[in-house]
Amino acid sequence: METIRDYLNNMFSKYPSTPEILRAKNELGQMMEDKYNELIAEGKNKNEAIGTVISEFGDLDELIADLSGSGDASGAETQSQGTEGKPLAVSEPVSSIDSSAASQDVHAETQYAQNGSGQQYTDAQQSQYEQTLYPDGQQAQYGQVQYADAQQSLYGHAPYADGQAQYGQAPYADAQQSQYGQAQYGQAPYTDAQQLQYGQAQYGQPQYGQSPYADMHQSQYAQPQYAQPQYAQTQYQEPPYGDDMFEDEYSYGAFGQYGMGYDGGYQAPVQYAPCLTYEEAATIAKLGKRRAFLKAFGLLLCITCIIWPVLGDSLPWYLGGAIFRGLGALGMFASIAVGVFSFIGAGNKTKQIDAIRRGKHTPDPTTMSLIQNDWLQKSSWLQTEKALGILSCSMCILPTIITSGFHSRFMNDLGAAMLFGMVGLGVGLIVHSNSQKHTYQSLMLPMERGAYYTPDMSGKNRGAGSTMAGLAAGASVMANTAGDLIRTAKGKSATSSYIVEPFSQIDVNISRGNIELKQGDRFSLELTGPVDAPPVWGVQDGRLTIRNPENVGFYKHKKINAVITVPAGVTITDFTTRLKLGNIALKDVVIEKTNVTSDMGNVTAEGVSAGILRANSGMGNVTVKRTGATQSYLSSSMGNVKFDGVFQHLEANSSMGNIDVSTQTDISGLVPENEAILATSMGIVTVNGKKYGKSVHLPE
Amino acid sequence: MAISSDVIRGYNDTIILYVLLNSDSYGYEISKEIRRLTDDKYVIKETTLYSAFTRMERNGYIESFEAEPEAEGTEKRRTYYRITDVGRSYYREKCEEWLLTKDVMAHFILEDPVKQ
Repeated sequence: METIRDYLNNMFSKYPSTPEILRAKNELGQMMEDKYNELIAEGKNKNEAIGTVISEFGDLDELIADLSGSGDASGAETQSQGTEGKPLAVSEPVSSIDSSAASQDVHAETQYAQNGSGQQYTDAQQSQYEQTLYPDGQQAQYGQVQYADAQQSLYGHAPYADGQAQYGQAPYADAQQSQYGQAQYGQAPYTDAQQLQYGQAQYGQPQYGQSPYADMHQSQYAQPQYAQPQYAQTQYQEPPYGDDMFEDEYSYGAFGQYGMGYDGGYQAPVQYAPCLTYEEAATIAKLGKRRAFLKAFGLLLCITCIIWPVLGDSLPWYLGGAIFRGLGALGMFASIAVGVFSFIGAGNKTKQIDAIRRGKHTPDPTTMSLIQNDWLQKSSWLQTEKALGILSCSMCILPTIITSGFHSRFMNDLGAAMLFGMVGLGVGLIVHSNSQKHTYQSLMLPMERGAYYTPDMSGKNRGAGSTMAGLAAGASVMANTAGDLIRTAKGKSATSSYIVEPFSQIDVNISRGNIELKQGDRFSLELTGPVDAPPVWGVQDGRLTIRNPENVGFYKHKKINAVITVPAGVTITDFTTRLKLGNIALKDVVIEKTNVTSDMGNVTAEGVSAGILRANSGMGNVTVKRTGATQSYLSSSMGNVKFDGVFQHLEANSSMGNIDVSTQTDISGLVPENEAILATSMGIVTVNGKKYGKSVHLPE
Repeated sequence: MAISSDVIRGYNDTIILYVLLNSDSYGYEISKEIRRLTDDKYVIKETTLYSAFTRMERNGYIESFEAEPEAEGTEKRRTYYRITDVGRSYYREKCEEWLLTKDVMAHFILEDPVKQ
């Protein structure tokens, strides 16, 4: 209330405290207070209520002008006597609406004190049908206002004016709102028009020509839309391809255009990293496959190298043991050498992949879906391969058990060799599988708009081609391979944030996860989802849609968390969400139609203003707090339903839970529109602390 | 699409008089009633409302008196407005005027402007 009182005092500070004006101030204050109290009672918070009251206050200058024109202004009468200056030509009133007697008197006797506002060289607040020279007229209709600081000059000429010139001429004007003005068919070369509607740009010069001195901020149908510079620069600009993709940046025409439409100003091209093409993605997949083989093979050789000395030592004479005996150590080193060579080969593949990948954004959507399909086909085989690898490792002890039964040294050694062989094979299979998975995951890695891929270069220097560098690369690949080995590929997820173009409808249909809609600074979206099956989303025709990826069966639907943010002052017309498992939360948003359902999870709404609020939960609670909803339909099968706020029509059902309503809405029958229908099968219904049993229909 | 205040300006008096035909009322209650009757399509600004009150009182269409609101039981007094006989006949005139205006305008309004 303090804020509103301050606002009113401030607004009235520039006017004299005549009884007339004080009465107006009192009355307005009362109306604002009434409105404020009611908004608070509806559950609005203080700031919202103040905002609404102030925004619906209206134009005080206009009211004061009306009051002054009422003939009460005694001061005006005295001051209007004995004016100086020559009368200017006075045109006849066009209509008699609101031309009060006082105004007409003034009209006849004095020319400078219009409508009784009573100042010479005037500070005319409403100068209708008159010609005024040097005034500070706030509303000059049908008149000529020269050198004026006219704020609204309808049908008038306002040369050198600093006002709003409608239907008038405003050359050299600093017109803030010039509608249908001279600019329409003429020239406004020095205009600093801030809002020029249907103006110059339509038929005048700027559209097809130049507007050298104009500084138009908001000009509809004007230059920015049809003029060349923006169009040429953002729409048809070729992406600057160069040798080094890292340095180049894309400019997207579509986004630039969108920006233009928004504030009409020049929108700098938005810069993007280029998308990964299909060919590049396919090359990476191929290189990844080879890399996986080389890694697995290298590892197999390194692990099995021990087999040579073991067998070389114990081979019986009839198998040529003596010959191999000396060669055992040699075999071991050779095996390691070939293994390391394989690792170096794998390192080279990584280098090639990084060279293609570096500086690029995610694959374009088509390529992405192809990669995803490819991955889905491949993943089952890779899973099997991994399973075989694990099986091989876990069975490695089996040969030793069997061979130990022979009680021969050779058989014992053979068993040991087979143990290493099986471990090597198993580890090789696991690494082969995981390494390929890693390749695909990096291809499908979701990235923020404009972001690009930077290879992880930590501890690696692959610049030099020396043997040492090669060995270092080999070692790093080995470390990497160990990573492949222990990487838990399942359930890997990533979070990405996006700034989204404005939308007014939201449609979320996912299987598992949490959805949150809240007020923030801008339209944005934060998505957390599995890397190998990221959620699909987009904004089209003002509708934000979030879905599980297609071609992925339900059993593969991983958890997706979505946090949707809309700026204050935005009304969402439709919010529909269907969730099988997870929570839905709405906070501090204005929605016309809400329809949210979670089969297993809680639904909460807090600080929400809604026309229709439908919230359902199968196995969770439905909780509504600080909310105003004209029509509310809340239901939960196994949970509680709680409503705290205001409504006109409220229906709440629960099979196994309680219903608890706490409201300021009058449901005593005083307001016939208000109604609450509450029912539960196994719980209890409470309204404003009063228990009603299983069901109640209020007003009773 | 918001209603243009320029267009409705000439009929604010008619709207307020209509509300007062049924019962005497005070500022906020009148504005609330207007909002309700128009399904929130028209929200009259406080200054516009007060300007109309003073103008109509001056013209003798309405008269004001101080009273306590019935429902709330607060001791806060409010300025109530009551329609006069002059106001009633002015209201009827305005209704006729509007019907004529509507007839005239009907000749120039397309049913579906989007198609053109």
